[in-house]
Order: sequence, then C-alpha cells, then structure tokens
Amino acid sequence: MTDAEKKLDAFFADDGLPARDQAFTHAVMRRAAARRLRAELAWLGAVCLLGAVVLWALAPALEPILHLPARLIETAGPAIGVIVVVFTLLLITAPRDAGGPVSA
Amino acid sequence: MTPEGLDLELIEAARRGSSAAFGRLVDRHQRAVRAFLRRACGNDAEADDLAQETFVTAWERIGRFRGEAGLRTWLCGIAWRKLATARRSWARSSRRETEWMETEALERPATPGQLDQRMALEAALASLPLEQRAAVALCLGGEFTHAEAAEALELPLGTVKSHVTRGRARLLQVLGEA
Repeated sequence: MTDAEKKLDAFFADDGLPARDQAFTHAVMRRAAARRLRAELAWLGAVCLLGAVVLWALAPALEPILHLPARLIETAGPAIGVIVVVFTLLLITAPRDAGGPVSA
Repeated sequence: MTPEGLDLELIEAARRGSSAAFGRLVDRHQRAVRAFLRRACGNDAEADDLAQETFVTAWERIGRFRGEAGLRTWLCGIAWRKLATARRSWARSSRRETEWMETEALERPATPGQLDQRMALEAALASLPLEQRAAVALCLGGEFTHAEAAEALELPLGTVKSHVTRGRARLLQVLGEA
C-alpha cells in the first residue's frame, strides 16, 4: 500500500462522528412525533370538514326532526344549564380518596 | 445474537409501534447514514437534516422493509433519494460551489502538503459528480460492497465499480499519486 493510499484510508476512516449521538436520536424522534401529530390533525380536520359538509347538505331534511329538541332546549334550557353547572361544581369540590393506606 | 438478528428483532418491534425499538435502530445506524450523507452532500448541517428526514421516512415505511438488502443499505437508499431530490433544489447554489471548488483545485499548488490535506481531499470529493461521490462515500467511506452500493444507489453494478475506481483515482491524484 502506497503512502497516498494510506492517507486516503485514514481520511475515510475518520468521519468525525460519535458512534451514538443521543441528541441526533432525540431530534429524529421529535421530528417523527411532530409529523405524526400533523398527519393526525390533517385527518381530523378533513373528517370535521366532511361532517360539516354532510350536515349542511342534510340540513333541510334534518330541520323538522330537530324542532322537537330545539323546543325542549328553548323551554327547559336554563334549568338544564343550572343542573349541569351545579353537578360539575359538586364533582370538582367533592373530597377525593387519596388512595393511601387507611389508618385505624 | 448477531447484529442482523438484533436489527430484525428491533424492526419487528418498531412495526408493532414501539418507538423505543425504532430509537435503538436510529442509535445503531445513525453514524453510517450521517457519514454517507456528509461525504456525499459536502455540507454537515444539510446532511444531518437529510439524515433526520431519512430516519423519519424509514419509520413511516418500516412496514415495507422486506429484508432483501440489509437495513443499512435500505436506509442509505432512502438517504440517497432524499439527497438527489434536495440536490435538484440546491442545484443553482451547488453549481456555483462546485465551480468555485474546481477553480480552487486548479489554483492549488501541485503539492498538497502545502495545504491542509484533509481540506484538499474534501474539496476534491466535493468536486466529483454526485453519483460518483455517493459511490465513493459508500464503498470507500462506508465499507459497503459494490453490490450493496449498487442496491442503495439503484445503479448498475458496473457503473458503481467504475465510479469508485475513477473517484479513488481522482482523490489519490490530489494526494500526489499519479
């Protein structure tokens, strides 16, 4: 092997990179997660858009059916609202079981 | 367990959705992919960006890996296609860069000892045509066989052999060997 060949081999042997670079791996995983999130959001957006279009198209047919619950909400709406608020407040303020051992 | 066996086990786990298994695959093969791209691309930051994209794409397509070639070859194949695509958008700036490097090479003194040898080799590597550079990076830098490089670069075996021989001769010329 000539001197030039040895130098060439040494040049290619030294790539200046560590065997494992955790920062690189984290960057890859973060980028993969971000891309997956974007794909899921795009999918959800498309589904929502489709749903909106379907509802818009069906609105004339649905209108008579929705009259009954609309009238119910119109009359009993405030009462239902108060019940929901009170129930939620009770749920939030209720003491929780800490899950620890019960002392005698 | 052999490295190939461990790869197959990790691939199976990644196919089932294990990000930890895929993270280990990234750990195991990042150096080969990054080194290949750095040599073929000539710009470390761009190369690392492409290497990250390569692994993200690999995870999306891990179900398509059939194991006919090794994982390293498959990954470098993805990296090569990413580089070729990116190269088209960089074409203008890269052409300017190559022209500058060729001018530098002509103006460089005959004895590379007067310059930093490493920089001279990097400049010579960057002045090679892209396919030739990629073949040299895989076969001389990445210890790929000619067949593996042909698989990754989607080139005929004879073309890869010719690229490596010519590229190597050019680099040896820079080192002062006719």
